[in-house]
Amino acid sequence: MNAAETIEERRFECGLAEIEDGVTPPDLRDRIRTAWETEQPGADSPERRGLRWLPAAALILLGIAIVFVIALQSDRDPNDGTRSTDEQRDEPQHFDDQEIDRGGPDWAVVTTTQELEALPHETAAVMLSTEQVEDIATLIRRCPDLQQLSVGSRRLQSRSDLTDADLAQIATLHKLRHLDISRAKNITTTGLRELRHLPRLESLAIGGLRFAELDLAVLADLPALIDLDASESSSFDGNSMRDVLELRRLRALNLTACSMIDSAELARIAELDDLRVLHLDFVNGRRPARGGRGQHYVEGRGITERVARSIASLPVLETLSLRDCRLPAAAIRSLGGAPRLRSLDIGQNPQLDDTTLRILMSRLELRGLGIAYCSQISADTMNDLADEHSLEWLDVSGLEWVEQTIRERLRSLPNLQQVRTSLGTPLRLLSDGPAWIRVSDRRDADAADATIRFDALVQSHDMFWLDTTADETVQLDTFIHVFDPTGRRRIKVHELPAGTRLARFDQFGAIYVDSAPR
Amino acid sequence: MEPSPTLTGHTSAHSAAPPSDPLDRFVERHQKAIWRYLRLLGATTADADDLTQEAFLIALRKQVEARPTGEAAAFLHRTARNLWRNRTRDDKRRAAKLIEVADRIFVAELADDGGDRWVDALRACLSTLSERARSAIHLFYIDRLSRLDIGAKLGIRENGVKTLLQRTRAHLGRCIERTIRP
Repeated sequence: MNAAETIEERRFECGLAEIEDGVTPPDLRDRIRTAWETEQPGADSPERRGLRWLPAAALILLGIAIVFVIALQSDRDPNDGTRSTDEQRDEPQHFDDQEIDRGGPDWAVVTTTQELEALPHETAAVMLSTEQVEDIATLIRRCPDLQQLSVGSRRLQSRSDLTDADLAQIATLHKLRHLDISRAKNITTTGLRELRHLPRLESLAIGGLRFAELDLAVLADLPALIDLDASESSSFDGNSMRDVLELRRLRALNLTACSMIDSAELARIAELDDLRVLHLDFVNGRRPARGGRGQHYVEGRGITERVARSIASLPVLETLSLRDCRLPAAAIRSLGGAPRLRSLDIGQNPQLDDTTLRILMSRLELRGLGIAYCSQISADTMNDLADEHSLEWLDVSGLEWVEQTIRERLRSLPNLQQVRTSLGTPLRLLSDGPAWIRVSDRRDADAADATIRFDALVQSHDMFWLDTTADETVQLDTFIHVFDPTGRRRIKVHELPAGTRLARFDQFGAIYVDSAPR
Repeated sequence: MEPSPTLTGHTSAHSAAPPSDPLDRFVERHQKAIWRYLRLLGATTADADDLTQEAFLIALRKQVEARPTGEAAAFLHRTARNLWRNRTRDDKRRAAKLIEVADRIFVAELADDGGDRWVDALRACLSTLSERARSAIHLFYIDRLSRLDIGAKLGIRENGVKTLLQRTRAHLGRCIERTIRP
């Protein structure tokens, strides 16, 4: 469905809910009055407040004039009380390399103590490398209004030496909404328990912790937690899962590559009936054998038909990812019963064939579908997919027979914004106007930043291609990573010949150059 | 209109007599439009409650209640939109498209009467539906059954349900349009 159809659909849904289910707009007068009076103890009503301020009218007018001038200078709408982070991002920041990040806040990346000391007081989102910066107290002192903090980012590829004492300090950041402490292996249950002091913490990433020694039941004390990421945790087992199943307010759960979860626990996933987003990629029952040498695995049961039925019964599930789960065909068909499913990735599941996919598609109205590397899917089904007008994204990577004609036909679908075929196929034009990027090397303080102008920004898979202008040679004097068929190496580049392609791998934040001429 | 109980335990925003307090008058005048706008954008009832409250608190801090009604509505609209942008998990581009469509509806049909006229028109148009069409709509939107299950209940095939829902929606759309803009 396109945006207009989606809104029209919601309009019907909400209207019917009002008429037939009594879900009408509430009367919020008492609630707002109470909140207002709590916020402003001793505050007068608006009427009395106006009278009280009459004698100070001249001062107020002066203040408004000053605010208006400041607002004009900062290109802000003086009538608007709040600005979205999106709008803040949309302001001209041509020389910020964060510009090409997809979504999320404007993260301040801190890898040295000097960078930490230079952080503005109002910084809202920090990605911190604890390998170089051990002083959490300084961070908290400098940025008391932090809303998003990542100390376990895989993007920085740093280990996380976070301790329980550090978490106790982090727990004083009362505005924190998102916290990533992935791979902080020193954290114990005591440290996790400290997080209950964060009243706004909605999103928590704890992948890679020592789950065998943790009591995740303490997470039930986090008042606002709705999004939990425990991905890539080899010690996340049935006991951990049972604790997570008690977090009934969860709306998003990521257990990608948590291979020790058994199908018995997974079958209880329907108890989390507020889940909107669920990632269970690589949960396929295959787990490392204890005491085995080399790559030995025990074959267990992952996403069985029973588990799939449980997932499909989640009433508001919208996004589901089950890549490489060795799904049986019956399990795939069961997913067709999910009432609100709009985005489904079942790539790398060899049991998916044409018949199963047709059954699935007849039951769902999907906006996104991933069937990468499903080798039993044939060109006939691809022709059927070309009639799915609701599709907005489609991943058919690894299906070599996706011929140019079919690809073109898929791209002609009215709502399709993104097709993934094979790596390196640039298909999504994000910007055909000028774009800028700052190239800098954080590990070399002497290296000068360089700004480069590009004429097009194209996204393909997790890469962003930046094409230089055809007739312009870019002067560049800094270290960058070169990536070409001979391997990856770090070199100092003085200039980029015209037509050189640059790509930035989103997950690592490094910049790579494809040195092959176009 | 009598206050009506809702699933969320709230009462309807309608009241018998206009409130005398300026804050109450301000909230009552605009709360339905803002709440319904947020629901259009995809907010749950709980989120719509929270964000509506937040939008009004921001407005009160800025003394927007003293401004002309149209200006105050525009302020609340912008504020609610930005609060939702910060809250939503939708893809940025997708969210922008949804907001664009919802904004048009806000200006055309929510800002003036909070959307009551549209809901009243829908109520009237529902009564013109056949029993089977009304059942299908109820089962799909209220009971949230899949088309397959609806087909089983109504004794028709899944594709038949799809067609029935499409036709019913189209009929309702035309009927509402005629009712609102005769």
